[in-house]
Amino acid sequence: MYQKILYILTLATAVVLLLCGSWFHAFEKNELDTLDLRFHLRPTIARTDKVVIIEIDNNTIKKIGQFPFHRGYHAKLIDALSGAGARAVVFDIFFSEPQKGDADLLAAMRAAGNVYLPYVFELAPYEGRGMAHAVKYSAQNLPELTSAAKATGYINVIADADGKFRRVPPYVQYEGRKYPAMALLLSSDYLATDLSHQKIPLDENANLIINFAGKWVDAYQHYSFGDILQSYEALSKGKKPVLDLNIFKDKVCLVGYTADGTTDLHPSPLEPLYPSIGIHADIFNSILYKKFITQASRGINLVILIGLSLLILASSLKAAPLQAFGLLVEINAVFLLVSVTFFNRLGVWVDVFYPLLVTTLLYLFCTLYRSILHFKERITLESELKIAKQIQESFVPKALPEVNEIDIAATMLTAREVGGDLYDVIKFDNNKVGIMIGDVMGKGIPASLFMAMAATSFKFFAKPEILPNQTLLDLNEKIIRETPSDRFVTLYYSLFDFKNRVMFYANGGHLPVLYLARGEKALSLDVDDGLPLGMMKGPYSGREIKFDRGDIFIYYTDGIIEAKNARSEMYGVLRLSAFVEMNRSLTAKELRDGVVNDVMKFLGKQKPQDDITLITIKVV
Amino acid sequence: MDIKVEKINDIALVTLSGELNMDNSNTLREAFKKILKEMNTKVLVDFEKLSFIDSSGIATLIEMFQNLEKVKGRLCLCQVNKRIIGIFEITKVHKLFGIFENRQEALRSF
Repeated sequence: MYQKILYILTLATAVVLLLCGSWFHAFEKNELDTLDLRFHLRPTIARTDKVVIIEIDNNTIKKIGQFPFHRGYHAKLIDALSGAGARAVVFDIFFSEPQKGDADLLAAMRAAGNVYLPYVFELAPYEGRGMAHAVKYSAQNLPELTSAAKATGYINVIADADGKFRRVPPYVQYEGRKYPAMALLLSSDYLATDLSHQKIPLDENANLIINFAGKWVDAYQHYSFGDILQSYEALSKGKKPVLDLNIFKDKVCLVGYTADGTTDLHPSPLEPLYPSIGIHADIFNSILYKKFITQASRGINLVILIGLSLLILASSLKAAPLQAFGLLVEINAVFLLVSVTFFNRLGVWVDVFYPLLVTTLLYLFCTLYRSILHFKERITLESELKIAKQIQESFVPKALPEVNEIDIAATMLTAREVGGDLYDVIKFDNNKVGIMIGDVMGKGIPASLFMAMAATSFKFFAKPEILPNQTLLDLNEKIIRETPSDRFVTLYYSLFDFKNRVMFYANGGHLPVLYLARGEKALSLDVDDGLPLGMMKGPYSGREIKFDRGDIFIYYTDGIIEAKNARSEMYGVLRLSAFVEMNRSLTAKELRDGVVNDVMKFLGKQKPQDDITLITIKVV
Repeated sequence: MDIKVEKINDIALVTLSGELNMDNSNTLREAFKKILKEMNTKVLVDFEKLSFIDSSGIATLIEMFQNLEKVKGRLCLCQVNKRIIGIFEITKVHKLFGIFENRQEALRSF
């Protein structure tokens, strides 16, 4: 009872722990890896051509020289872009300290009227559901530049447990006001709608999961800051520009650092260094196409985990281990396919790593559990068989009596699977000897206990003055009376009377004894009536036969004649008769060993299936 | 060994094939138990495709015979090969069952 409670408690704890693992995002880093893999495997998604990226790249720094460079260059860029009819110019660059050229920049921004500047909040630790809160600004621009900007938006990005950037808080609460992220601000201006009322799927920390549109180089159109300046200057001098600046007409131009050594590069799901300017483009893109990444809730992940676990549990406990492994692979393959399809089509992100881990562990656990159980069963069965064998062997005579008139030899070889053979040789007096052989139908401990009962009862009913058919009749009645009806024993009993040189015999459904008179062929000594004992009341008829010197009697069980070789042939009664006929000059012992050897030779490498019992008698 | 159980009118027809021995007699025992549970009292076992039977197989048949006796039912066998008839004769159990040469004759006998 105590053990059972302990067992249930352990099981319940394991289940709770497994469920908690899902709820509290155990193996989160591995799950994030699978998300990245999904990003890698996803076919190309729609990308807007309304966004262009203007890179302050290595080429720009080479052209302009020092870094950070004179702000007059930024002013020129604004002039160039607004001259070309750009829709917006968004800087992912801070102008926080006064520098040369600030006046030019201010003038250009005022003139253009469509310049966006970034800032960064210091966010408070996230507390429960709802909007993120800011403690203070951690990076800002010069106040006059800020006032000249069309708008300012924060550019905070949230790092995941593995250090990669995948999320952005869409809105931040600061001093009672709600501030939008740069990308949202830009999108809402571009679409001329208030996005705060639009449904944007958020994760459980109220962050927007960035729907990365692809690798940095392929995702959007890229232009070098330096090339634009060069073209602008060339145009103003009436020369041929490197770039046709008309390409920027109506475009949202995102300006940021990508040159080596600049700090605006972060690891993303698709590549180790992803410029943060790309993140604004990705969010803008997903708002434009209304294609977001939606993380499945903990509840949904839990339901999926439970469903898969139950499937695997059922298959692992029922099917054969290899088949169950096949099912594990198949079920998980279908699950992966479905989750990848959901991700590709709908952007839905369900946990896959944890369910795969749990189902694999469940399979391993079930298989191990079943192996241990199987092993235990085998041990029990083997010890049971050993006991059965011992019972059986203890009920056959340890030594045969000395009888002057006949030469007797006997053997019983018990097979691994005990069949329940029995035999007995009783010397009543110098004149009379009773010889019995039998076989209990069935195997294992029940058969050997029944055999023990039959062997003991036989000793009680076998008497020198009673003929074998009467002994069997009495024994049968006792067995029917005292044992369950589904136990039977075949029994052959013969009584030798040496004074009259007669053998009386009766047979309860057993294999008839072979008799070889001198020089004659083998003869089966059977009777008309006699069912196996324990079946029903019935007649047992008896017979007698006169014997003489040199006559041979062979008592045997089906272990001999049903011994089967590798070709599935049986030894058979004909082979037994032939062997004895050929070797009739041997002594009883030699004959016994000869038959057993012949059977073993016939079996070859096959092991005996059933007990082999043999009694050989030669009249001397 | 294969066991097929079907119902012909009110007779449960059990067709055996292969060898009925110590290793599989329990399967037949289970099939018989199911037949009894379903309140069938007339059972015919077709031995046409059965090549051999050993003592545990015979015990299973006898058990079924006895269980059917209790509910006043009957167990018959048909198309039993000579070798198996020989084995039945040794154990004398051939006198217990109705043994018929062909299936139609056996079915008509119920």
